[in-house]
Amino acid sequence: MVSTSVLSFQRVHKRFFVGVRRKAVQALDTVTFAVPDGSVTALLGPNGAGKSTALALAVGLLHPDRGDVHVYEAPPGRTPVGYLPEAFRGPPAMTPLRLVSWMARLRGVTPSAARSRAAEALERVGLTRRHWGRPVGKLSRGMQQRVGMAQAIVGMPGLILLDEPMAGLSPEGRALFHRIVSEERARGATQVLSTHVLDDAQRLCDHVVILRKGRVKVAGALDGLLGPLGTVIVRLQEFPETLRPSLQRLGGKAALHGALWEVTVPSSSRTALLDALRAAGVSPLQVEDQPATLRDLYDAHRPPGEGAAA
Amino acid sequence: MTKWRQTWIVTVLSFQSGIRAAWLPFAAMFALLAVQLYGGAGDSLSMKSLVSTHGVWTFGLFMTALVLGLWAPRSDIRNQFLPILSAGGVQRTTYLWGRVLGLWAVCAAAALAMTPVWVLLARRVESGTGGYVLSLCLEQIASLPAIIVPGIVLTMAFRASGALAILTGDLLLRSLAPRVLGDAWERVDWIDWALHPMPLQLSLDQAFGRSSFEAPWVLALVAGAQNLLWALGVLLIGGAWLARRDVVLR
Repeated sequence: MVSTSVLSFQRVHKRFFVGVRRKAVQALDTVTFAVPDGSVTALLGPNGAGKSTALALAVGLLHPDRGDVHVYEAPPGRTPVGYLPEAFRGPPAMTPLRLVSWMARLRGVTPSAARSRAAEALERVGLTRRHWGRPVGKLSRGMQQRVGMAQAIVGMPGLILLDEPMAGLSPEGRALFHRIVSEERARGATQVLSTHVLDDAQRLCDHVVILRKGRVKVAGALDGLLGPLGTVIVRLQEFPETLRPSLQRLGGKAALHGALWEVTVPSSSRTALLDALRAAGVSPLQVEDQPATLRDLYDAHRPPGEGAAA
Repeated sequence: MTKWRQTWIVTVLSFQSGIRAAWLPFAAMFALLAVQLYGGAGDSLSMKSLVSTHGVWTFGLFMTALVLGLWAPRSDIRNQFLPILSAGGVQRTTYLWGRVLGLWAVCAAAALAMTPVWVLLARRVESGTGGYVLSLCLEQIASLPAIIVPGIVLTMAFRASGALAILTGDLLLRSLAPRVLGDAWERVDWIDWALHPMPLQLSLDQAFGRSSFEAPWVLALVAGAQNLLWALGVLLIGGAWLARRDVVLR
């Protein structure tokens, strides 16, 4: 199957001028990445990395200074997309049912069907009928976030952009959002998820883009990126010192843990290590593969001294 | 979806939210005027009293329109209604048109609802004033975009209300001049020029002579048309400018 990109950034630059002195802040610098059709892509990075700016460019709220942003191979704004902004509040006087109905109509749903589609979307995000008629401004933070999610998914948009969707949600709310993201993936929607929570991203996403200070540090399919970062731990009764030079060449290390030696090498050196051990006449007691996590990938691109992500 | 349908949707949304935001000040104004005007039922009204009261109403109406115009886009940005409309495919200029039309409809509905009251009251003053008062009402309705549009555009553009001082000055002049100057206000040319300093008036003045302005319907139509043109000009230029710049998020 040929994977085409639904959203693409080509050498995008975006600069803001802030404050009275109009100090220039480079929000995005030569950003290039593509979001494949049907994927769930995590947009990761510390605060100020440019995640929300990238999503605002994809929606068409901002325009790039240089470079191109394309949504379905056209400039943003031509095709309606689902969008949950960060810390969604919504028009305070409008009821959830009315807001979601209007968003359905903007996505081409007929007026007669809009109300039932809206009701369906509100039910999916766990809002009961008693919430439908209450003004959005009177709902709790978590409920407002659910209304935001409902308006993002109503009308079955092909591309859904979610900016910090789990912020302010209870564990039950987070579980519900996980389920919705999975359901939308099953439907075939392409999703971009900006988040600070690496565990959420690891569970939900199959592609990742890590931004730092407006630059793309790494982008691609999660499997392909995590594979080389995995490790193999081989436990031995004893470790012959003659193997240490070979181990250093393989990028591994050996340490005594209790009564056993643990030899750790990157997954890519697994075969070479086992061959070397066999040649030295050492039999491994246990071989344990440790796949890399998204946290390993994130930390691998984190400058020393910067705090860890959640 | 066509731009017309998008504009219609934003207009309806704008109308609904505008009604919710403005019903209280409008109700308060209706109540105040009812008390003021019907308090002396049966007594004859002086023209000066009628025009002054109408000035107060106009001031209230225009201030409400101004606050709505200034408040609406700020509110839409703060509660992220504008971003989700953009995601729904609504362009910035479409949003502006819809917002302006919706808020205009809110204030025009209030002005229209009040028009019969003015006509009834005008009948208590003297014969022939009904047309004059109606012309004032018409001018109000036509002038509303001149208040709403710059409010919306400038609020979106600068986030600070740079237009506030200018518009408030204009409003004060329009509303308070009759109160301050009494019957004389209509005869003072400089106020007329200050209120309607537009080329259209100059052209009409030269083409038809000064007398053309003494007919209240003509005055109302000319003033309304001028204000409307000005508002549309601001909307078109401001909207085109906004569409090209990132003035919403930063």
